Amino acid sequence: MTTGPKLRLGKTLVPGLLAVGLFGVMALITLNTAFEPMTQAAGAGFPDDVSITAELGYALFGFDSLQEIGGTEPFLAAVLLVAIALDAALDASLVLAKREEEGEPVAALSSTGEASSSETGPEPAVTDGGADGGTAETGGGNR
Amino acid sequence: MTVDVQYYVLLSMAVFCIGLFGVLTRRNALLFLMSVELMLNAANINLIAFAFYHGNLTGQLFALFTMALAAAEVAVGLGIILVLYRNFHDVDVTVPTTMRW
Amino acid sequence: MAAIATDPFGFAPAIAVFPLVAFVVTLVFGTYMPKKGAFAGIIATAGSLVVSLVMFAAVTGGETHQTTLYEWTNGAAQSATGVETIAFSFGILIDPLSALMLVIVSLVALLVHVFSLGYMNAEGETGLRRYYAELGLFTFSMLAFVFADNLLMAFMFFELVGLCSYLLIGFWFRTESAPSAAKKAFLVTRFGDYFFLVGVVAIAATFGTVGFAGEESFVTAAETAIDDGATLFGFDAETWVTITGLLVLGGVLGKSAQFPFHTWLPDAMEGPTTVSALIHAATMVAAGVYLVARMFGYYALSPTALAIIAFVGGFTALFAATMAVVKDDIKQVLAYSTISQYGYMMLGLGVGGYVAGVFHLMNHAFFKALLFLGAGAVIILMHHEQDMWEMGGLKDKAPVVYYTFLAGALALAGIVPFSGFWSKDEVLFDALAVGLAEPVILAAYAMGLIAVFFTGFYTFRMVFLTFHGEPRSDTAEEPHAVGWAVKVPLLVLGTLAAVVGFANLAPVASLLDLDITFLEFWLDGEYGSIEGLTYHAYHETVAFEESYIGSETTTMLLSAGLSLGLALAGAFTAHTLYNVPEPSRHTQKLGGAYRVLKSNYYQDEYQVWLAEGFTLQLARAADRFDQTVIDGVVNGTSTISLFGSDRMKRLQTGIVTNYAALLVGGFIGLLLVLGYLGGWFA
Repeated sequence: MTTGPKLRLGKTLVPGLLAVGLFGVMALITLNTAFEPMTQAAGAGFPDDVSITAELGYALFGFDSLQEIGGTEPFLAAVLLVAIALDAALDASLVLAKREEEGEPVAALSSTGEASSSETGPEPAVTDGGADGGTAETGGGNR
Repeated sequence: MTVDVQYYVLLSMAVFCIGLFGVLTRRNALLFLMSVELMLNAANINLIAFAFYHGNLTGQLFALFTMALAAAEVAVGLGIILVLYRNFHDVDVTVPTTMRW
Repeated sequence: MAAIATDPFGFAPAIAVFPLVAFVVTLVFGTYMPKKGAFAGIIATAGSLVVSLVMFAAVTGGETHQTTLYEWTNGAAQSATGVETIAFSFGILIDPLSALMLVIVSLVALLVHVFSLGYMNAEGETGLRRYYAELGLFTFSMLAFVFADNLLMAFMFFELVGLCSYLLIGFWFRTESAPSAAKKAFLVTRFGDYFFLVGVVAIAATFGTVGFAGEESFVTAAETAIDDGATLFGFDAETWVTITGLLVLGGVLGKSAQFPFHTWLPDAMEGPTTVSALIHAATMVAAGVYLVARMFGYYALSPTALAIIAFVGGFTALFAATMAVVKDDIKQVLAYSTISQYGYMMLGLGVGGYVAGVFHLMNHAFFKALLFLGAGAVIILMHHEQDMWEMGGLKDKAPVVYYTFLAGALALAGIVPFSGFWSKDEVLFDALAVGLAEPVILAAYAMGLIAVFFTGFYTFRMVFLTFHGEPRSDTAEEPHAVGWAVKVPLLVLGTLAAVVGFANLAPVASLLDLDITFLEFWLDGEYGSIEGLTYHAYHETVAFEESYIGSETTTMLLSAGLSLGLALAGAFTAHTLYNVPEPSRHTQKLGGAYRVLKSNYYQDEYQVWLAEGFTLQLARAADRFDQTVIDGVVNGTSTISLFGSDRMKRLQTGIVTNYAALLVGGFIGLLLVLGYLGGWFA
């Protein structure tokens, strides 16, 4: 028999009042700002017969000549950079996930099996608190 | 019938503040991350609304990029939570308090 | 010689510079010198004596000298009389008074240096380099004090002389009593000098000048202020002159060991006897009286100050004379005698008897130095035993010492025709003349007169106990021999004690109508003088009336007869009691009075109580205030800082959500402020 997770109420919700306060302030500011109605704003809306998604694709890779809704900025460099960033994030998460079990590092997507891991080359990077069982000291008394 | 842009802004602010509420009150690190995602998406709503308001696609493109980066950030964030768990044996964000006086 | 004839005063600074050079030479090379600096000192003081005699001759020829050697600061300073600048300088003033004093001081210093060869070197004392260096420093400061031309320079050398006294009293610093006595001397005189300093500052601030002589002296400024009826610092001009005069008198009383600052002088006998002879008999204690004589034009303007000086002097004369009667140590008798005789000088000056006071100063310098050096010779004879009850019968064993000591004793007691008689008689005559018109002065005169009896008594008690009768100890039977270094100064001073009285035979002059009062002529400007610093100028300023019994001559003879009679009576009493083969301790028969006198009227205990019971409590209260309030404020500042930061650091909880909350809070605040200022909520 397990108990379901309980929502923590009470004193812990006090900082949340700040969030509510922020919403109040922003609402006040927004409602006091004079915006033109959507239909009258300059160049509001997109033409009905154009495929927005196709336009987005053309703009992402800098195909200005294929565009029908113009005026967007070239995003080619940005696309490439984001690709690199995603790649880096993937590798970073793999590194962070590496852990040690009984003195032997266990990593996702490693090409070597258990047999070859006994031969230690350069020390693999471990992120669980140190090379030799350092987890106990750092985690222990800081509740 | 189009909706006036201030309602979009209000919607975006509401989502942002809900996310902020989650950041301020949640103890679990994973729920903390989810709230951060909410805040990112609130900004996306704002970007889309104003792209339509000005008739310029740049806003929508920018929202795409934000989403991609949010994904990257979550990947790294989860990795950090993993390491945190290994060191403190708990995903409660109020537990690791060693970096203080 | 021609150069000297043209401007002898150019050599005036040399008088003080020679001993200063001796000081430096002795300090640096003393260990290598054969007599550890004695010859440097002797040559230096001999040089000073020669130059002083040259100055004396020049003043006799009618010249005086006042010059500024070095002006060390000047500036704008508004004084109460309207003078707008003030300048402080070192300068020289050579007029009859200072020329006379220079000769006296350098002569006594020379004789003391010669005597030291026999007292210190021959007796195998150690630390002689220090001794001669300090003597040289003392001679330098005393001579510079004498020829100082302004009050501030005089004050500086006054203090320096006090320092040398401290150093020399504490010469045998490894004993317990000597350093303690040195400290006592320094502190008691310093206490008086504090008032002196306040007085100097007051005079400088009032008159814008501190010079003694001439048109730009504070004396002339004070006279002008009184004549104009000015108001100085809220007081009538004469009252202010009295106040500042009394402040300066504080230093004078301290240095000249008058009541109540006399307690240091008997203790100062801890120093070597030569030091006592030079400093505590003839020169340093004379500095106070000399200062009054130097500033006499200023004191003459205030009859109140003069009356106080006279009364204190007369009182001290009697007070100290009574204490000298019961002392058994030969140096203690002489110490109290010194206090008493300076009382006479103050009495003389206080009644306007400028010549009488200065005459007694001169005579006392010689006969008291003689008596102290004689006591030093006795101490050498007695192998450093100072208790008179261990002595006796020394007159056959040391005739030179005996006859010179006797000459000094006769001068001290005031027996005709020795010098002491003429000067003491003149002091008493002047006091009587003024006293017949002023009752306060008459009381002072009476006290001085009674003291004559006691003076005669204790002096001859001392002589008889030391030299007459049967020897009372083995050392007295086989005394240590004394050499020429001891005998020559005694002979010189003995002759002077007998002869120098003839400088001013006032009773003879008035009786036989002769012009033989040379000192009076000297101080009156008959030879050379500076305008305003002469006896008749002072006499005119002093506001005391003089009256006589019959005529002036009759009064003079009457007072002379009275003082001589009392002195002889005292001497005769001593002769009856003590000039017997086996004298007994008669003073102890006085019972309670003996105990009081022996304890010096409990003045020492009283002053110690003032320091411990009173000043110490005050000091403790001040210390507590300093520690709690002032240190408290300083420490409190740091405590507040530490406390504040201790509370502030708790912001850093280490919990990320708290930081996020703070961020959001700040952001809301910023939005509200910007919105309000930018009119977003309008």
